[in-house]
Amino acid sequence: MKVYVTGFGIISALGLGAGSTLDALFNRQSGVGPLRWLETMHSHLPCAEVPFSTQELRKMAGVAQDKVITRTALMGILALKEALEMALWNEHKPLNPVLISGTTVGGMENTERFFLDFLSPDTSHDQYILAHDCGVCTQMIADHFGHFDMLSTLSTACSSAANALVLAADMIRTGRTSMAVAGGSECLSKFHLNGFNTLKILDKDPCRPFDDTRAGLNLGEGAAYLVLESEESAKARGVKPICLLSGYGNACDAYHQTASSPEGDGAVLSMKKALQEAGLSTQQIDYVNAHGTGTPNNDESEGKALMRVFGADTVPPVSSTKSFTGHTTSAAGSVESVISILALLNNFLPVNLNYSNPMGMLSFRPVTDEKPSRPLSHVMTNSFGFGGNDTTCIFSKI
Amino acid sequence: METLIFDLKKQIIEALNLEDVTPDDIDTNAPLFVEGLGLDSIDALELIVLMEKQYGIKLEDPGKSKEIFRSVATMADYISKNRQK
Amino acid sequence: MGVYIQAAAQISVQNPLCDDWLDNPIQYQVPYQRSLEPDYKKFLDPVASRRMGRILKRAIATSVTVAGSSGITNPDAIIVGTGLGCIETTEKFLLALVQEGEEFLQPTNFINSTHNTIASHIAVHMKCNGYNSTYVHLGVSFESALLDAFMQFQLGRIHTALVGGHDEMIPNYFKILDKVGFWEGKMASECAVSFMLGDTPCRNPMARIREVVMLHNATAQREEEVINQVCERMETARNDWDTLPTVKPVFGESFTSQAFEMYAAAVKMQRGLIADNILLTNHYRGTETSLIFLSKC
Repeated sequence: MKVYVTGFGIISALGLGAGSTLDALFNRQSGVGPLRWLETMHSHLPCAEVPFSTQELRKMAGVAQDKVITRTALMGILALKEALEMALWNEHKPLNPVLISGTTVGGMENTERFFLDFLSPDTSHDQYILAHDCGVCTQMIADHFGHFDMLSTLSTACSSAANALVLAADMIRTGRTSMAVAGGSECLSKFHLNGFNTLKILDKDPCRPFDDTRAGLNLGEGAAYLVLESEESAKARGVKPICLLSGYGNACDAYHQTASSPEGDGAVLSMKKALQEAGLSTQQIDYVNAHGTGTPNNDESEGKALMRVFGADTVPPVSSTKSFTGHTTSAAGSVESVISILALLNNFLPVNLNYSNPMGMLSFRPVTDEKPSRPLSHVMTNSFGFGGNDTTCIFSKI
Repeated sequence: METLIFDLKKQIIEALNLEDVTPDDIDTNAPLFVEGLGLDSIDALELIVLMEKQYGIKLEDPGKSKEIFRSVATMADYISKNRQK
Repeated sequence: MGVYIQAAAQISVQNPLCDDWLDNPIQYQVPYQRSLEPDYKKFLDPVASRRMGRILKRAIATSVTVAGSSGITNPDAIIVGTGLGCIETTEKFLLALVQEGEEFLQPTNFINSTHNTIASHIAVHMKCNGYNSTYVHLGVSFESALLDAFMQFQLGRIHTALVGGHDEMIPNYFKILDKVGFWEGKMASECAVSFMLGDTPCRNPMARIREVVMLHNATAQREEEVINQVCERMETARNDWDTLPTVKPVFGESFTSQAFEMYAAAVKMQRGLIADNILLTNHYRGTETSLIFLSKC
């Protein structure tokens, strides 16, 4: 059974909406820069924050002042709004739609502010206690729109949103729903920034994925959701499908808690599974949006995996758009799926910023020119998480 | 030096949560990583935190720390020459 | 297509890794009780487990146990549901952050704070490169994991799956949740239940999972409508399906306590102590509903 994309929405450091995202990618305007909102002693670390304060996001989303909500949920609401409008949600309500969302630290943004108050007799912030759970964020997003018949929340670190897409597609394929909206949302938190900082993988300069001098990643934040739908449902609702989610694969590196295996075993498996599911040969992939965090370990391991899957001399155009959006962690899978779809629909290759020095062990160089050598028909995007949770998605023109 | 080595072993055991290991079990000159205690990259990061917290020594590049973390002896040697507290 | 529970194992407030609770349950009169731990040295060497919190050790011990009793040592999928994840190490990192500031934070506590560290630890331990996922959806996290596994079987992608429900409860978090009336008088506890599932019944399977459904903000009417649809698909009558009294008085309350309900039902079904068709329902705080349909093999 085919799974169609009938809508998508995005918010990231590149702004709100597919239009802003596309403009930034075309103009090579990175969202990585000095911190504006997050209060931390590590303010020298460049990050890719969404360019709106939480208060501004609340206004933009039309959420009442007194409602308990999180920045993560607000970004999710804004991305979902765009996606649902594109899919004509209001005009023709789908039958029993589901929402599957990926997140990693849930309501940590408030827990880290109020944890000591939670533990004290002070009750003034107790409304945030239950908002800590990852699932509450999904509920907040879903209930803003209403009508969702089932929800679930995934957490596979930096592949969370990609695995949300996998579950959503499987729910359609098993006939459990006709429409599944899926993606992820994650705001920057002190917890996350400090966590990545203890691992010594944050670059003090803008990240340089696949560059020999790369020294780590820049954290980002954002949300993106895709509306997935069966052919029957899209037809019945009169919605024109945008593209196909033609294949996906989930595999586990099972190597180490944080490090990727040297030869990228898990990544090879997830890419091969996705190709097999899509029924495509390696030569048919026109662009790969890499996980490409910019850490020495990831880019070497993923680069070798790409060479193993596609052949050293026949690796398709590859780029990491984390040089634009930063690493949006649990949302990366859907943020980069939307970017890949924008590339597919507009026949261009998003470039890999800040690249100048080839890596000796890799046979390919990342994309530095937007113009593709042939029109794009099939694009692949990789999302890998700590613990070896590797997931690959493929989108295809109809 | 003897005291420093003993203290350092106790601190390593605590930082790395090495259950059932005593300072006497750790050979001062044996390699800490892969062989010997069998430590890995996350342990190396914990040792970096230990060096900064206990001795005021900032080690930014985990790669360059390899030589320092070769054994308890090499760590103690580096600490005695570079300690800030 | 059938999905069979080939083996199951628990670590809880009852004696670990056995069925003692069935005939001689330990009775508690406390608001909060942590699990009784087995000897982990049988499952893990001290160096390998040096960074593991209790929730990870329990997950490994229950997983290894069901792998052993089912003979399936390399499952095609490992899927975990956890409401709060590794809250103990998360709290360590969080407390250090809010009390001591942003210096000297320990990487191990961050790494072990991610929810998926449970499923990935099991995968590293059992060397499983297959499908791997983690669900964190409130009080229906376990059922989310089970639903995913069920669909992977339906789609023919897997033949075996290790599915677990894992949660720990620390004193501070018990207190915080108590402050907002979360426990509703039930005993707060911890959960570690692993199931080995397969599409071909082993010699003595515990039960067969017929269907798994989840709903959001469902009215009683909507729930009944869905149950009837499932019954129709399975060609059974609605009144063929019995319910069971909850085992929360035995195992306590946690975000994944539905894993105990399925475990207890499977144990009793295998011994013929209950009806042949059981519907397990879970209503989490009036918003999330889950339905698990179990049949005797």
